[in-house]
Amino acid sequence: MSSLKYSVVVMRLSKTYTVAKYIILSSRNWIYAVLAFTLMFPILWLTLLKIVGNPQYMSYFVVGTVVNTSFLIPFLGTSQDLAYLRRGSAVYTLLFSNGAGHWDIALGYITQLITLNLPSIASLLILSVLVIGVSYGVVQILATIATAVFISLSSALLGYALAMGIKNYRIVNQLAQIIPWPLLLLAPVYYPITILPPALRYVSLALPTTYMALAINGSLSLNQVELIKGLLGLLVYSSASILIARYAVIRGEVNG
Amino acid sequence: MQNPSDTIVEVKGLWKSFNGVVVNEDINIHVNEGEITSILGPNGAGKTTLLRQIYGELMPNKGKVLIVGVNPSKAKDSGVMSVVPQEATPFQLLKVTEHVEMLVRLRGVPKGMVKDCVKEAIDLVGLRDYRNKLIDELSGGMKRLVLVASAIACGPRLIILDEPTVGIDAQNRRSIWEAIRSARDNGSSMILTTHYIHEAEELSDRVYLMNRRILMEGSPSELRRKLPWVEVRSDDGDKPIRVPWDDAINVINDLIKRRIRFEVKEPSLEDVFIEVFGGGHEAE
Repeated sequence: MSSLKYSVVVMRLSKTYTVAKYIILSSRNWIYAVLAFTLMFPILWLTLLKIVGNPQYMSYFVVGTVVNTSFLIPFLGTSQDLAYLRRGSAVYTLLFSNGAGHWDIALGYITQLITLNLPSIASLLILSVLVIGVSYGVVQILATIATAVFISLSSALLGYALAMGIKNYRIVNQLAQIIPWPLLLLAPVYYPITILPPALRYVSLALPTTYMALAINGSLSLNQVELIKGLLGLLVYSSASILIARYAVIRGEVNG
Repeated sequence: MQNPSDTIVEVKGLWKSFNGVVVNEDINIHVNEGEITSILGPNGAGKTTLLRQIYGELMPNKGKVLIVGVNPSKAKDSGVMSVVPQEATPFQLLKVTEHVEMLVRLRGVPKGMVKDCVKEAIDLVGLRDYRNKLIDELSGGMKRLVLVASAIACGPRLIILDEPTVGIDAQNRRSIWEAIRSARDNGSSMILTTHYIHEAEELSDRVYLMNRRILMEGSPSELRRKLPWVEVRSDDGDKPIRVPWDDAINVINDLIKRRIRFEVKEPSLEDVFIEVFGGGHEAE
């Protein structure tokens, strides 16, 4: 029985790997955008921050930028691309009908996004040290990269739930652009939570980006309590996303 | 009477409805090993809905689908079938070889076998000179050939093709026909839907005519024989006439006596289609 389970897990991993491998191959045409995002964006952004940013909030800006990068691209990419692949181009059906399960496709796609996004996060952290002089050690940077991977996964799962939950991919496209605004502006991502008026602090507690910022801040400051609080919050959101996506898949099998 | 051990696909008492509208009503079909089975019907007849249940994208409301004796999900996981869904487009930013490899790998074909059978499938559909080209750079017809090559590569036991030749030129269509025949000769079974009735007649061992439910089934020749007439076309200026088989000899004798040239045409599958669905169909 356990060997059967083992072979099922191996099969699923193999299919996820296959989807990820070929989606990564298909994204080689985006190499210039990836390079620009990995090098040009952090250099320009951090230089700008150094010149005009308030030194008091510099570490928050770094946290905010890491959260933004690890949240926005996986969320936008997963929701918009998977909604289009599923409803707009039938590529999703092509993969599904030829052997990939829904989660193989989702995780394969998410792996590709994280793989392409990770260098920009690493580069952002290293350049923060070099350009604006924040003092992060190797352990902090590695812990933050690991946390950013978890945030990217969690954000991509939110995006997947959106892509699977709404039939009309044009609506998904619009929502995917609208949702990040309140999530990034109402949550204490670029500034400390104490700046927010008391009423908004309660609102921010309901936003996943608040927990992303907590987790990144906890990693960069090696504050375990903050890190665990952040990761637990994200775990709740990820679980909810998985449940929503699972419900949408089952509903899709019944209603088309 | 089919031998159950030869049956690759068995659909039993299948019903499917959306928002109370019945799309598939008590469908019973089977596909035997090494056969090409076509499902024909007008637009909205429920063909694609039926196929989506066969490859496991939709759940039936009632009834069941068995592929080599197991449910579609298990069959899919074990790499038994390959599919070209309706209106599917390939991954445009992959090269031809990569695309075929990807779908073959998803079907679980061992790595050591992939290279040769991918090459063979690409050669078979006539894309040998394009195998390292990006699919994005190919014509629409060639993109369909990529999908067909991906489906037939490494000889899956069941190949499902939902309108594989729609909107492509005669030359590429012939290439697809050749690929389909070759896959059948190599032992694959196939389910095909098409609006080109001639295509179904050329390729199929068995045909199902459906409009929500199965209306008629049989080999193309069995279906043609269900129309009890032949068409006699003479060059005396009259319109072609359809006469019952038994009367045909008298009509022909009369034309011979009057020394009028004529030709006799048996019913085609398209005539059967028109008889079943009426004249306002989309057969080509």
